[in-house]
Amino acid sequence: MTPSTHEEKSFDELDTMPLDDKMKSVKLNAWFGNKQALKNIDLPIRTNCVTAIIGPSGCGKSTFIRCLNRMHELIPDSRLTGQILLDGKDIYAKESDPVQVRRRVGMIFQKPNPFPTMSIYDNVAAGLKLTGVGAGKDLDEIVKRSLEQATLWDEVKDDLKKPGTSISGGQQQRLCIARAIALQPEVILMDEPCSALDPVATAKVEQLMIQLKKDYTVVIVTHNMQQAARVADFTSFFYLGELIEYGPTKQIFEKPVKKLTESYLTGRFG
Amino acid sequence: MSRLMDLGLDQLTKMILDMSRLTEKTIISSLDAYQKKSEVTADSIFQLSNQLGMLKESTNDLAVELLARYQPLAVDLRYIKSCIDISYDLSRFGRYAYDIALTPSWLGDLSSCDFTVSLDMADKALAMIRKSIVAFKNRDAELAKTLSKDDDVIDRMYKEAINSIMNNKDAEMKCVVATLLLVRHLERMADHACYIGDSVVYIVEGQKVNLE
Repeated sequence: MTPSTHEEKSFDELDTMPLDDKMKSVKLNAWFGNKQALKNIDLPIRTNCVTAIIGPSGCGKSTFIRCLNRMHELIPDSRLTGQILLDGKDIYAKESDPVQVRRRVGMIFQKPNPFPTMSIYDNVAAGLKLTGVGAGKDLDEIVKRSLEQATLWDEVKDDLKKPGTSISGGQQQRLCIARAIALQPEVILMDEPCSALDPVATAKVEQLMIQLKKDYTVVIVTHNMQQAARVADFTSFFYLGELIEYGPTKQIFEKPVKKLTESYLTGRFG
Repeated sequence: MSRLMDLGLDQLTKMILDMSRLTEKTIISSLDAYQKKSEVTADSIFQLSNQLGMLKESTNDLAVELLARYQPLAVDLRYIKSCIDISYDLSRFGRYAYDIALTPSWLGDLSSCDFTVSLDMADKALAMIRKSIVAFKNRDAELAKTLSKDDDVIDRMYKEAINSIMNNKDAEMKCVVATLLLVRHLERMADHACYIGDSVVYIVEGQKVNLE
């Protein structure tokens, strides 16, 4: 893979160009029991951009990303108020189907989690078979295309029948990305996708993110500020369940407006 | 608890302040050489200018090392970037000082020339350089911004000096050339003091300004 850059638009252009919001949280509050994890979050997720969410442990960033595809509600004793708009429609509206939402908004987790008993091929095809999305379609073609988009095809094309767990950690993470892509989502959420990977595998996933944003909208939660600086078009900083600051990544990392953001970025926290 | 990077940032500050002290010494010595007020020679100014050049390289090496080791962000990133810029400005002062010191060796004895106006301009330029360093040391953006007005004064003196030369048909040619060279170098020094001021504002406020 050739190294990718933010080749489509400069950061300054991002400041001024009109951008659509693929998703948007509106006065979002989330609780675990009595503990409020998110407080009145208003955050746009720009179409075909990478949006990074950074902040210290416990700031609510993973909770937020789980709200974006209705995974938060799967946790016992959790609740939520406010709205998450996907193409302008509230995914928490009564008529909204959570399964359909999760198909449109895929999730990649911290630890690569290929289905252990399945081959590489079946891992990619599994979602298609389970949801029926693949019915009547050429599965071979979809699997190949998904693996290509995840920049894994060249590395595994001769080993498709091998177990998904037989490849390296970095390859497994890209396999999970291929599995998510196979369902043709519109948004890909990544929750610390590189924290279990070595620097080489991390670089490949980061390059992949830049490729993916051409076709998808990407949201990444990361503890690694340099990773956010490398891949994100927009960055948001969360602290104690609140959105402290949001803006173009260059602005956030070079001249943040809020003192709290400055303190976090420069390691002068607490 | 101080951060690991703070040791490097403190060292960077120290190097810039060392450079600024050497800069001041170099400029004062060059003005002495220009007026033949002492035994200072252009060669000795050349050595000082070279030292400034080497210090600039050392400063930049440390800055690059800090970038590589700590991937600094926000004010730390702005500070390191600005130290690279300021070290360049300081090294330019050395180069202008050397050019000033060279003038008598090109033009001969200048004792018959009247440098009252241009030496007054030199005092003002040197004051601007000192002010820019104080603003850097104290991270005082408001003080840095006052350099803009100081630079207006220098620019006005520069133009007046040229007009004066143009209108003085009886002046000795070597005095004309010597004055022209000196005021030109001083005007550029004042500009670099403003650039240092720009860097201070950028460090403190994150805003890119042009005080010149």
